[in-house]
Amino acid sequence: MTILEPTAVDQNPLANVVDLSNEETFGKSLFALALGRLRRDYLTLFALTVLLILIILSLLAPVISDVLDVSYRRIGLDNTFQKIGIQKHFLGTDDVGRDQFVRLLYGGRVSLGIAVSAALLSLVIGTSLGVIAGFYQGGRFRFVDDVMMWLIITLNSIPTFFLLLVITAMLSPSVGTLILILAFLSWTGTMRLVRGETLSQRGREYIVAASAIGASPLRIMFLHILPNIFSIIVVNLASDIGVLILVEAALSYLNLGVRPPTPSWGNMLTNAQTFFTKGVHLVICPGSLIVITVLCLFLVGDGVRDAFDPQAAKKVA
Amino acid sequence: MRQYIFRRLLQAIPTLFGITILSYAIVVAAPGNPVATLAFGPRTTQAQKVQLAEQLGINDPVYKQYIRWLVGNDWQSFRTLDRRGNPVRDADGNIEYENGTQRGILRGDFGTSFVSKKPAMDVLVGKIPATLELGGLALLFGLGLGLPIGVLAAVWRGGWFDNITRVMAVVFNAVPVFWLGLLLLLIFGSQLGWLPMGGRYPTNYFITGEVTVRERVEHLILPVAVLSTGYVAVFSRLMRASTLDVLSQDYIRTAQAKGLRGRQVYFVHAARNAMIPIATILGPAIPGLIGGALITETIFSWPGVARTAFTAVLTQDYPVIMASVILVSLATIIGYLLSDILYALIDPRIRLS
Repeated sequence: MTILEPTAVDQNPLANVVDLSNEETFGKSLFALALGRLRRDYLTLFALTVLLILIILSLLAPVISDVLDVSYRRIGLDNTFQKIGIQKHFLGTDDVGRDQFVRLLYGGRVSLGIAVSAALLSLVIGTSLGVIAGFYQGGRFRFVDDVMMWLIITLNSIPTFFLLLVITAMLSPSVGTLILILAFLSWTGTMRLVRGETLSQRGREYIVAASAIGASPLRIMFLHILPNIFSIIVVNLASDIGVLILVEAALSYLNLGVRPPTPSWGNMLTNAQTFFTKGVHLVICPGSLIVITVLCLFLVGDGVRDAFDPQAAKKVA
Repeated sequence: MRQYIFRRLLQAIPTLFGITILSYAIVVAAPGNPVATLAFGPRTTQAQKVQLAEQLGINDPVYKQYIRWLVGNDWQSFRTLDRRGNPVRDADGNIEYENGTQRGILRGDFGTSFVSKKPAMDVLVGKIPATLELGGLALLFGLGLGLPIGVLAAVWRGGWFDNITRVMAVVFNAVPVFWLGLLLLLIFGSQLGWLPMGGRYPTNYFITGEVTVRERVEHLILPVAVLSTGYVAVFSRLMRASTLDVLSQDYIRTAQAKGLRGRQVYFVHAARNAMIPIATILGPAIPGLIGGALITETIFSWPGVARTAFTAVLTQDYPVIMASVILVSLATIIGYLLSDILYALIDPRIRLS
């Protein structure tokens, strides 16, 4: 429920991964080891399967609506508040007679699409800024780092959701702009993580070697440091997407994110309070879908993290 | 200790400065002409609009307008303009001047609300008690339920209680706050009819002015439940982890060897030290609380700061929006500060580093 708040992750979660004394793991790459562990983690695999099914169903939304002969936007005022399973309407119809099942699928495209693109974009912003800030910390160009840290502290002092609310209300964004806004307000966590990692990599021998043979700062940052810290960044991706789905849903619920008639899981609940007596299924279904999706994303996120860092997994259990 | 607090206060100044820039930037970036918005109303004359544009310095660079917003313009004088925008001259042909009327946000003048025509800050400050009541109770419940659950989960590590609470924590993290509120309203308000559907007081309070304790509690149950679930989940997980760290230490073994009851060992000896890390997340918990309060207050029609800010956002009431951004950020900064000071008080090692 905490929304986009910074997490205390300034340490390297991969420090204990490569155990040289263990014959089973010796000589295998980090990703191969993680993949091997993931293959035996049935809960994560289950969550991944559920997510895949949801994604495929959402992508096939136009086909499915053709096959079922229903439309996500055709209004039928003689057909409102149909109960679940009546005629061809799997999950009934909404207050203006649109089929809820295909609307959920189309909403899934929007909600998942926004969350995934915003998460990827914020990853790019956070990573580049983090590498740059970490690389220049304390040196001749230390103002770069100082300015960025000031920006982050300032951004974190305004509750992110409140800021999002104000900005979206002022700009009435399209879906594309909404993605940009979400990304620009959610990169601080990644940035701090990457900055901390870059700081610890900066002093290592391979960096000294690279700069000794005359590699430019940009080359060192993005060709030498970045590949070495990349796995830590990806580890957080799934749960970041989950958080963004929750944020987008809350914004759209308040009618500030995705605006009707475009369906999203959040804005399908906007008028939920008026459905209490007539169509309880209109309250239950979109919300359950959000919970299932976000839960699976969190489980996958935890699974991937544990696969990369089995020591941490043991500590928690 | 005094030095530590002073240093932390100094550090807050650039942050506050950044916040004022950001909140001014939002309004500058918003579409529409500030004069049209500021002077919207059937009784505004053309001359007043022209005068306002002069005082706001619409054609000045943005940074000048920003500084004027910060420190006010009552130390400046402006030409008095007629409704065509030409300067008014007195009998001798000299241009007439008048003083500015804004005192600037640094002196507490956030302008006048477009909607209620009251000072913007007063509109918000009047709503603080309602929000404190809701947020304070939610935080209290979060701690009161989360901490014991965390200790018990650590003590019965790997048992059914530990597993159930862990699953619950993960699931509740994935539930959207607004949907949880809607479900509770649907079940307890609409279907069962046990609890009111929202608001802070029953409807007849506004006629008779009387409200019983029972009615107040009934109105509080659902919003507090919605707002505190997230905290129970977070605090219980953190408390479990930090209790586990403490339990392996020697002094716990000593306490057990002395033959103290389990209850005494876990809830007095262990919990006391395990609670130290919790102090650090009380500060960061505040922005989350405000985000949650926004949604909770909206769903339950709770007349608090967050809902007032939300209404201001919808009605494009710029002075109230800017005042709310600054008020909410101040609350956050103070929250961080208090939690740092609390942490330094509990753990002297922090102060010295």
